Amino acid sequence: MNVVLDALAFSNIIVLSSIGLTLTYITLKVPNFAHGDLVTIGAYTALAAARLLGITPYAAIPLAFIASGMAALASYYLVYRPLDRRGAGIVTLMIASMSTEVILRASLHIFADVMTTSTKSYWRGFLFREEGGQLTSYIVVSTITAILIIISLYLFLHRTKYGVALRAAVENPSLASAIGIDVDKARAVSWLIAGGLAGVAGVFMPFRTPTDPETGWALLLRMFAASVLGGLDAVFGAVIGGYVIGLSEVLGIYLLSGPPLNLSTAYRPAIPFAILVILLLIAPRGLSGVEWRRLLSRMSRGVVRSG
Amino acid sequence: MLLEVEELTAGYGDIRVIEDVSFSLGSGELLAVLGPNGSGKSTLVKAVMGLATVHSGRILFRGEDVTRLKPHEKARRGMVYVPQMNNVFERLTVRENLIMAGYTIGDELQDRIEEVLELLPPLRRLMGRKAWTLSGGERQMLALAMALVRSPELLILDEPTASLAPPVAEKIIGLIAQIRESEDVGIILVEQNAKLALSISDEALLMVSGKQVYMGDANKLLSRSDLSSLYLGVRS
Ligand SMILES: Nc1ncnc2c1ncn2[C@@H]1O[C@H](COP(=O)(O)OP(=O)(O)O)[C@@H](O)[C@H]1O
Ligand SMILES: [Mg+2]
Repeated sequence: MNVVLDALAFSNIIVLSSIGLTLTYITLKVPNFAHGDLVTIGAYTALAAARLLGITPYAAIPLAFIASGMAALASYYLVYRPLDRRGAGIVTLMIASMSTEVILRASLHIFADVMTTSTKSYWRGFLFREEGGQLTSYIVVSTITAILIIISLYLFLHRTKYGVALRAAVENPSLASAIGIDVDKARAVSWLIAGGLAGVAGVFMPFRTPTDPETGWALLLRMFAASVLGGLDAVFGAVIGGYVIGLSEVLGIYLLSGPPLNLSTAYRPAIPFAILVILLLIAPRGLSGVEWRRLLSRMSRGVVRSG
Repeated sequence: MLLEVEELTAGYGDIRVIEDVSFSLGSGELLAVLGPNGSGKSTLVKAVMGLATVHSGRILFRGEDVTRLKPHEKARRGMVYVPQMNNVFERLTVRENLIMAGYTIGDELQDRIEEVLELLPPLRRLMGRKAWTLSGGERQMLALAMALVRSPELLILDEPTASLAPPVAEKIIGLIAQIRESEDVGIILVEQNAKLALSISDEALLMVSGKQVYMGDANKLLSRSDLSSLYLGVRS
């Protein structure tokens, strides 16, 4: 039971962060290597709010959204937009993205050190503990938060004119600008939302894992896996991808490390990637690229064969 | 004059694709832009719309110099461009596409969409479909509808009949002729099919290798046997 709940909590973090990863990917077709660090920024914002303002980490969710959102927005305006305007190719953008990642992570290390010396308390390997030893309330809160965010993002992107414009602008920038949409602004908003969601994910991370400036970076590959699995051009594919990756890692390690296999838990990170590779061999464009209706009707006629 | 293009040299980044192109267009007129593949027709209209790099020359819209304006700023002034490719938002439904097309329109949008559907009734039963599921003809019709929703003053159509079966192409050209009758609009029609385009145009501009080799009366172009047999695939 606890394993299932833990898997759910882990998945919520992966889902919230991979939605944003997909969202920024579709704006510039570049994977944002710094996305994991945006998650860490969210965690540190919550820690700073708890220690300096005395508020609970949950109350710091809006602050974490703003802090990580601003960091994402700054990297868009300072790095990606200038490069994109100069016609930089995908390789240049990717190297810029890696450099931004290193800089952000280094800044987090500096921040952690400065805070540790100035407040005389530990700003590394920290955990959020809950009152009364109730370990599960964050699982409930993170699940509700994930559901609320997914629903509101869906409503925003599909039911508001500005949200539809955002989808239009990222799908086809030149057509969008030709009909009067300010594509540059739409991209900036996408980066802000993407960073913000990573920040929210970050608030939940220290409830589960001792957090330091490297923790988000270490999660990045899972986020990539979730985004790729969901289909890199489908924001809500990342939701399904995130749950598949998150649940498979935690539940998989539980099953493999127990009897009768008793495998070492060092294999843990390999599980979601093994699943990713297998699923991509079946559905190369990710789950959202599958023509589900055709597949289902073929399956119901019993004509599905391998290959 | 609705649109005046003066000695326009344009391309992509440092590359020059078209050189010294000049023409003008009045409201209610239809100009056909013709020429072989790769001659710079799309580049010309993209440059007019601000989607290609202008190296020199001027573009005046209703007398205002719009040469350096961004595409969305031109769009808000009534210049409407339907690209040759990717001219609808594939992941949006037909209805969402029409709403997006009217992004800069306020309260009248619903009425305007209704008016356009009167002109293009087949779209009515496709409203809930995602655009990527449409046939080639339906797609072009949607692209046209998206342009019309915005009550354009200048309508730029880049090869609206490309890759359509001949009867469907004729239907689209018929619709363009109808638009020209019912709306107060100047139209630039880029076309491969010279005969079809010239049948509804007032004036024609012929591009060859980035240079303008003819600009003038559409019917007279057909009688220039040197040009029409070489570049237009029309036998006189
Ligand atoms: N984005 C681009 N970057 C660089 N060159 C381009 C680009 N688009 C088109 N070209 C070049 O410009 C020339 C004219 O292309 P285009 O304007 O599309 O011709 P047309 O529409 O008449 O077929 C071609 O040689 C083409 O290769
Ligand atoms: Mg062309």
